[in-house]
Amino acid sequence: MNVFLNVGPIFRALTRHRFSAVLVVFQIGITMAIITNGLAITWDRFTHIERHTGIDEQYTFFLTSSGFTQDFNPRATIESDLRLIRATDGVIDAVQTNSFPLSDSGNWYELQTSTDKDAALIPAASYKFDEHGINTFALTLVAGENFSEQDTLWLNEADSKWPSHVLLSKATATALYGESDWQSAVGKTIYVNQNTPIVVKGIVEQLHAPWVEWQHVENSIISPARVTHNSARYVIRTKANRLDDLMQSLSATLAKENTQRVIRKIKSIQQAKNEIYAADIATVSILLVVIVVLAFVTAMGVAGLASFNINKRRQQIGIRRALGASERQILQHFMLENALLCAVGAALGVLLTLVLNIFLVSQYALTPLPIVYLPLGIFTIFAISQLAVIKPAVRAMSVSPAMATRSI
Amino acid sequence: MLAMNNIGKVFTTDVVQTHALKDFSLKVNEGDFLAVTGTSGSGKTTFLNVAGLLETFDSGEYTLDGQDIQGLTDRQRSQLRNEKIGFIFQSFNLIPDLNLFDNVDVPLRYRGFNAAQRKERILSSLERVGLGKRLKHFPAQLSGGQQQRVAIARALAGSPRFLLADEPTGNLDTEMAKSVMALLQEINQSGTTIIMVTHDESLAQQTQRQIVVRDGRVCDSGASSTSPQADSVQRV
Ligand SMILES: Nc1ncnc2c1ncn2[C@@H]1O[C@H](COP(=O)(O)OP(=O)(O)O)[C@@H](O)[C@H]1O
Ligand SMILES: [Mg+2]
Repeated sequence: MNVFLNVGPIFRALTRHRFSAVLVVFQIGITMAIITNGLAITWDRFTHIERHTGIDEQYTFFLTSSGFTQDFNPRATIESDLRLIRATDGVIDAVQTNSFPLSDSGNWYELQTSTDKDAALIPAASYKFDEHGINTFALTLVAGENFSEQDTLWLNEADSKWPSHVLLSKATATALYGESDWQSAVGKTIYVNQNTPIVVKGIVEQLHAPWVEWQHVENSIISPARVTHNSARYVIRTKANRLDDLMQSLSATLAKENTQRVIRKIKSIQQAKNEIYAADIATVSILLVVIVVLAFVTAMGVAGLASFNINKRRQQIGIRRALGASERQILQHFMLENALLCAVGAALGVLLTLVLNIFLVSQYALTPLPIVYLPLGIFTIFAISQLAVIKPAVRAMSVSPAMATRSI
Repeated sequence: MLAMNNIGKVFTTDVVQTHALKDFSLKVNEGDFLAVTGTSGSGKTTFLNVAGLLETFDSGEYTLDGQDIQGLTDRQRSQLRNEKIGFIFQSFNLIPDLNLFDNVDVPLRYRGFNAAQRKERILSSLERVGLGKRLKHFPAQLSGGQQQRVAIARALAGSPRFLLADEPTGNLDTEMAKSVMALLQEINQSGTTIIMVTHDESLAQQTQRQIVVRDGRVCDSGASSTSPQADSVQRV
């Protein structure tokens, strides 16, 4: 049975009722534009939030120890704190660090493969922690090797000294030496801030910069150093399910251990992430609600109009049945009529989607809509409107052929 | 040939049961022009609806063109209607949103003819009823008589064996009724079996055979006085 049997006549009949046809077409077009852009933004934000930072986000927390007395000894405190934390049951490993992914604070340097004027400058976020960092952050070493204890420097806050060896994130090595040669970075000398030479000792698979919206978020460089400062930040990874209790007990233990400082800003990586993405999560939630409500309203509109038209055309349905249409052909008639309206609506929708996207891109610096969203949007709007019309169409199908002779 | 044997049809509503047809028996031969008369509510339309497979029946047997109707699926019934039966209604029942061409096209599309076949049939049947030049007109732009002619063209386009007409002249003035009747006569002459329900005694008189329905039964059956003998009807 030919599904498209009545395309021509249905289309010509629709042009006789332009007003209501145009109304549905616009509703479908506008809905499609909003849903398509909304889905694109939602997906973009979702993948942004869900992307890997390279570290174990689930069982890691951090806290700050701030010394407040005259004779507070930062270096001795850090050494004894780390000894204590690392020896605590349930702790996998811990480091003192200047920064970490999702912390939203830190600094970055520009790296080069040579001191040539025209050698490319590769920005990379700077991390400073000792040889326990790889284990603490659950980083994967993909080339070269980790620092040794001897590599680690103690630096003053004001110290601009660089250690002799560093680790790079794979993306940084790739930016410096190319897609196929990133591994060759190991053993090479690179230059920081156009003058300081340092040797690459190893490469980790991934380690994000502290700033989630940074364009070069994949680029980072790790120096084996501990910066002595009255405030020290420790990052601690625990065994599965030990996070909550250790967050409490460790901060209490540390506070008791040394009364010349306070322990503050105790937070899990997960909490930090939620805070950093709070606005995004709110946006995405609102968008999803809008999408669902809009889809529902449009479905109701389509179903309502189809119902109205079918009630108005009960006798016409009877006539078609009398002239030989089977129940299925009546169902197909109304599904097809809806599909035709939807096709025109979707054509308008493609246009409106692009216009809305251009507006959003120019006003809110969003990324342009990936082209796959157009077929996805078309599919979605078709699915919504065909589903909406099933119920009225089934009612049309049940109109008796005797309607042709019985009414009027 | 159309044969009904003791057909019963009951309409059940919340309040009443109406026996619209009771032991309704009738044979209509190939080429007949049968007029069905009877008072309002006697069951004429019900008979026509059952005969035209627009409605099912509750008891009895019905054979249309050698085919037992009982137990057919909706699709089979629809196909039989489409191929063998043409309908003409009192209120014309053209589809207002379609022009004449598309109106006549409706049953042909369900029949599965290709575009060229359909066009040929549409043009020749509209030609036959004298409206070959009005293809792009819409029903509302025509007089009642013209609309009924389009309906006849639509009924004939698929070359059905049977033409069922329910008060085809009921909404027309005398002049128009006459010309529609003449058209039906001509169609019958060329071999189509016609069953026509009518109030109009003078129209009924012009047919070959007449039955009167009363309380859902055939109560008087015989040749109309002015009609030619059955065996002298021309066949095509
Ligand atoms: N759909 C229906 N529901 C209930 N009763 C009906 C229905 N159709 C017809 N009837 C009843 O069946 C009887 C015969 O009706 P009908 O065949 O339309 O008569 P006619 O065409 O001779 O005027 C009437 O009493 C009518 O009220
Ligand atoms: Mg009647």
